[in-house]
Amino acid sequence: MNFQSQINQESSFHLRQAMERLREGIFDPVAVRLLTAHEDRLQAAVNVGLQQVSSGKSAQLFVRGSYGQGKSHSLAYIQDYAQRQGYVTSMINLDPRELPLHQFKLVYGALMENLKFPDRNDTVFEKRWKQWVEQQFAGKSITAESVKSLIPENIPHLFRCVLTGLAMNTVALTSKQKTTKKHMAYRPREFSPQLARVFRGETISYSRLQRALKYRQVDFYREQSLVCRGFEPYWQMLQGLSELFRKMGYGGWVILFDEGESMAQANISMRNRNYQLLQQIWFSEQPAHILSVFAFTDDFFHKVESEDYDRQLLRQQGEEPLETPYFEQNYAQAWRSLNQFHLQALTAREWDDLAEKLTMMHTRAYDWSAPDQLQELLRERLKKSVGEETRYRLKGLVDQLDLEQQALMLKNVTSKANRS
Amino acid sequence: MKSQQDIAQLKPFQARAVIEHLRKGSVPIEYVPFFTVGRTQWLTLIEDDLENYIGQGGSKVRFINGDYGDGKTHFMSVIQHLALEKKFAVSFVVLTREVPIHKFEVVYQQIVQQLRSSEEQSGLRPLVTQWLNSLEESLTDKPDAVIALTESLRNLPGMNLNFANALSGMLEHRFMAKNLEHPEENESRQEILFQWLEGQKISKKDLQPFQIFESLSKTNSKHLLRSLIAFLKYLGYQGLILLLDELETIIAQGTAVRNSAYENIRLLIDNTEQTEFMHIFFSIIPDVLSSEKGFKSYDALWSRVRSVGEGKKLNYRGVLVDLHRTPLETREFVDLGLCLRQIHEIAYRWDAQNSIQNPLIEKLCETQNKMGLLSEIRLFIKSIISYLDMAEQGNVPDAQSDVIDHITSNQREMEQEKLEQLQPKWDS
Repeated sequence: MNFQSQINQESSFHLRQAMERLREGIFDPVAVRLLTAHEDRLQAAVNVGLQQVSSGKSAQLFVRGSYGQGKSHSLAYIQDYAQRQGYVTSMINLDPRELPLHQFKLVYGALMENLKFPDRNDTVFEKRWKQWVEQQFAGKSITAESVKSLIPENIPHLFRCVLTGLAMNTVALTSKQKTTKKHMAYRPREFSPQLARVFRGETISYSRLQRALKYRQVDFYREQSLVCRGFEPYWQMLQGLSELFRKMGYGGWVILFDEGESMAQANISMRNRNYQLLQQIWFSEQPAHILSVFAFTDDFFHKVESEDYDRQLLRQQGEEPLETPYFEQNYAQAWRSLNQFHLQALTAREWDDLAEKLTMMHTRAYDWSAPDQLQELLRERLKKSVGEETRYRLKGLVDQLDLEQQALMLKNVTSKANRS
Repeated sequence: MKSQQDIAQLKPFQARAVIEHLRKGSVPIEYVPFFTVGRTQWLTLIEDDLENYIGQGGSKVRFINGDYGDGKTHFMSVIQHLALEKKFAVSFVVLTREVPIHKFEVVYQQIVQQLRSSEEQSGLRPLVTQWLNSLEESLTDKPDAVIALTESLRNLPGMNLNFANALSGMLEHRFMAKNLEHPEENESRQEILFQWLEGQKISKKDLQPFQIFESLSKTNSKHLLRSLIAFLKYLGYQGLILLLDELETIIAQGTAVRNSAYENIRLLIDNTEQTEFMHIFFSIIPDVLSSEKGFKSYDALWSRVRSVGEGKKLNYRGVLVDLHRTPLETREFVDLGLCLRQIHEIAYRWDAQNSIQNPLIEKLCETQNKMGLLSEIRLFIKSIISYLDMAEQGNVPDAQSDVIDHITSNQREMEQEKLEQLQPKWDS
């Protein structure tokens, strides 16, 4: 399909939205679909990871580039591509204050909140899960044990109970039963949202959880502790869920972390913790269907390279001071062979193509006709920004298009005002 | 929107309020359209954005750049009027050390407090009350209809469950569970919900009956803002326009606070994908762009904000609304002087045309230009008003009077006022 036909399939609003975002230097799903360069190279790198995921192994991909070179754009492209290949995806921005990796429960919550499914409709996972369970039993009665049998073994007990509760129906009580003291806490409307909150990593009181599980007929919830603390259970849950997605007919799960360099901005103990977690995530031996994609600037790897791995931490052990290394291992060495995808600068020819595509999008978005000499002006603009970061050059092109369009628009407004 | 042509409609007390504000150097936000001149290109493009982008589901962040006295607050007030006229809700918040951008939860409280849905109405309470009143007929004694509405509120795109439950609580207590024996109980329940919507701290115990599980916090403040927009859309508004004045206060803060603030701004820019129907305008002074402690110190933000223009041509759709580079023209200053003269006439019920004649206004303008101070609108306004005040009190300046002296003494007064503002206020 040629580019004009592709544009014609988009609404003017979405094209305008893409332009507005490019002007601010942020990626946009429409722009990702229409303007990704080096698509083949990126696809090939992703395909390697997806093949590994299909065979039940976790895989990683590291998108590396400087500020403004298109990391977020590439991540958005990978997300879109993975969805088109039938994978569930979640993309989050790591943030040292609001979403630090070492608080993995929050990361888990954010991943759950940003779940996207290949069919791109808004149905939340909880609903999909219930429907899928019902399909599996095709009209037969569903028991907690039978639901449990569908859930991968490695999913922690709490989440196995919650998933079962989400799929089961609430016990029906008679009006008389509802008035008894025994069933005072029977609030059927609350159970589903409460279980959904726990599923998404939120904490609710034990009594509420117990009540919801009891009335959702999850008899086995007392068999083990319902407590989940630290990194392990949430990471296990991610691995288990990826298996469950696979069972449900999806290819697996692609989780994307933008702003990975923020992990190196924390203080040394947090950095140490972050590196430990990354080591566990990247070199996990457990079978899973997860492709994790991280975007980093060079700063992150420079930091990892420059850490003082011989540094010792002095601790008081009884009466004797004990020296232990700050870092568990030399991560610079351990991560030397990571599969990195280096973003590359576009060639002059590729920039020309991009300028032409942008013009077509801009004229449609703002409903104007470009003058003949516009491509020449854009080429001149590009010449002046050689050596600048990709985002800046792209913004320059949008700026030039804006200037041409607004000159026409303001001329029309002035002549209208003069006439009236 | 009202314009200069409507000045004659002003009542004397309104005109007097305008003059009093301007005399103090502040902006009479309610009345700015009456004396707005120039900057039409910026406004044309902003109007286009409101109509064809934000109102259609878009979201955008822009920075209004101008020096002290360049008219940033005035310009933002004009945007406020424009937005209200186009059926947007608007919130005008002044950022300070107490309302810092790095604590978005505090900013959220202010946004709700300053929310305007029309020229007359301010705050979220009257808006919600008006909504409840409008439902009186359709929902009284109709529990099924209340439940249906509650459900549809929960399903609004972008609506947070807690926010929806607060609104549902309002509906249920108004139309379903009225305690007729203890009406004060109804009121206190409603008060709890109002306070929660306004972002105040409420105990979990008090929130439990409404199934509200969390109070306003750093992590959920942006979700609540999204919910507020969803509610405004549901009420029929086009969206929300946030005017956040004096972002420059960041520069005086420590590095850690500054970086968190810059990160927050970057997130507001980047999260436009998740946010719809919202336009944020921050006002800044040129230092924020040029100083080492400004945006430049934070790469991730700088790469989004830095100007790509080549110096000569201005992009009126750009991230920066650069008022500093578009000062008023001499003709526009004269127009402004004439507007102020008319407003002064109405305020003090006198005839100023013979006392402060057009040539004097033109001379004032030319002199300020020669002194290199033409961009200082506030100084021009102060000079005109003090001439008008003097003339109204019988001390009419003639065309030969020393305009330079007049401007210089006003400039000195302004400097003094600025210094006084910077003094610590021990008794506040």
